[in-house]
Amino acid sequence: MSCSEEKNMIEFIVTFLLVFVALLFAGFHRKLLARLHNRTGPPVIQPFYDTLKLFSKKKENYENPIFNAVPYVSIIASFAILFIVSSALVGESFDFDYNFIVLGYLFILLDTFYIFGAVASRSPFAIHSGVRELLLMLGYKTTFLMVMSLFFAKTGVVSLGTYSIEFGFLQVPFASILLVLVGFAVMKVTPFDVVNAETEISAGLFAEYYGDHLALLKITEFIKDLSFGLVAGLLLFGKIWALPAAFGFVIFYTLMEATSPRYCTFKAVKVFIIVAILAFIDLFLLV
Amino acid sequence: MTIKKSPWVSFYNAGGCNGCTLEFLACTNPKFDITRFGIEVKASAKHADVLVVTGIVNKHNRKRIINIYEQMAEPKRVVAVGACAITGGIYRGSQAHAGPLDNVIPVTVYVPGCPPRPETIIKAILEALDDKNTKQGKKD
Repeated sequence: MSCSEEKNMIEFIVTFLLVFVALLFAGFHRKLLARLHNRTGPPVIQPFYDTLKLFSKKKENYENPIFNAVPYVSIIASFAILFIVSSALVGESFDFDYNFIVLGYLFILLDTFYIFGAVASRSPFAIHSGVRELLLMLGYKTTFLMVMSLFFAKTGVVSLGTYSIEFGFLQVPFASILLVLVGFAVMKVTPFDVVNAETEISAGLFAEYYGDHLALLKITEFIKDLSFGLVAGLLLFGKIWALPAAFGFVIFYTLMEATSPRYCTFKAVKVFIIVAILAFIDLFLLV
Repeated sequence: MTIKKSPWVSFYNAGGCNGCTLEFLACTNPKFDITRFGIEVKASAKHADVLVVTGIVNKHNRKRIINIYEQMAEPKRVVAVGACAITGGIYRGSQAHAGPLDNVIPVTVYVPGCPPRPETIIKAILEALDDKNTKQGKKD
């Protein structure tokens, strides 16, 4: 086996290990949230039990093909994200120039799939949640793309794999703050979790999904959260600190979730439009 | 086995005095904490494995209960909480009463009381997950 083949093999192994890490992080998030509420909470491996249970549920086919296809295309998109992130950390097979832009678009694509699924389900709760997601996306997804561009423009690096700057937040402090703010919407944490506000709009985007479809969507969400944490960790603290930083982000966002109320949709959208304008001004000043 | 480790519960309040509803909601607070058993309260019946029903089944919501039950994916369980759900309680014989819950949907576990204690409700949900307590389990 040649050196590049070995590297590719390691990269694939790391990618699949990261799926388990994503589920463990989700379990840790639930445990920590419970402890902050002074509850015992579920075991850390609870997301594994949940996923296994959902796969074992009896499945009935829904007649809408878009509704049925969304979980599968979402999991493919999430694995594409994870491959880009893991190749940035340990390998090079998915490391190409300006791959951070592709990564940003994949994040957008993932949420767009969710909206398609929500609309195809015809559930009023899911459609309502889809509209909320669409409104929020205007602000936070554009900010996410602009902030990543800012990091790479200011440091002169062209891909995630070649980004070897440690403690990048010292060089790009303003964009770092914006990136952490974007994390609230990506990870759907209060005060910006208007999309899956379970007390208001049932189960939000996934209201009509169940069984293996729901399991795939849950795994997609876990992978998305971990990938965002790893990317933010890589940009803010450097390659070596990416995983500990992702863990730190889980703790930070859980603390915020346990201690803050939810904004109304209008206010959440307004905040992210302001954030997008600030990111645009920062990008404009750089140019 | 998997349903035992991760039971997701959906809750339906059919009416009545809301005493049982408050006792069920107390199960989620830090004192009783049902999440320690992996139980999650889900807003969508499609996600649920266990349906907890409180209150009197009446002519207005009878079809709604059947609809909720039919939306749940197999394997599914039903827990009837309180005297109203089991027999009609103090509303039994009233013009709105549409009979006990087990006349409408199959019930796995009954929790008597007016209202029952949160510990009893938690115990009932866990009992409902045991295959021995279901009709299918008894046949096996």
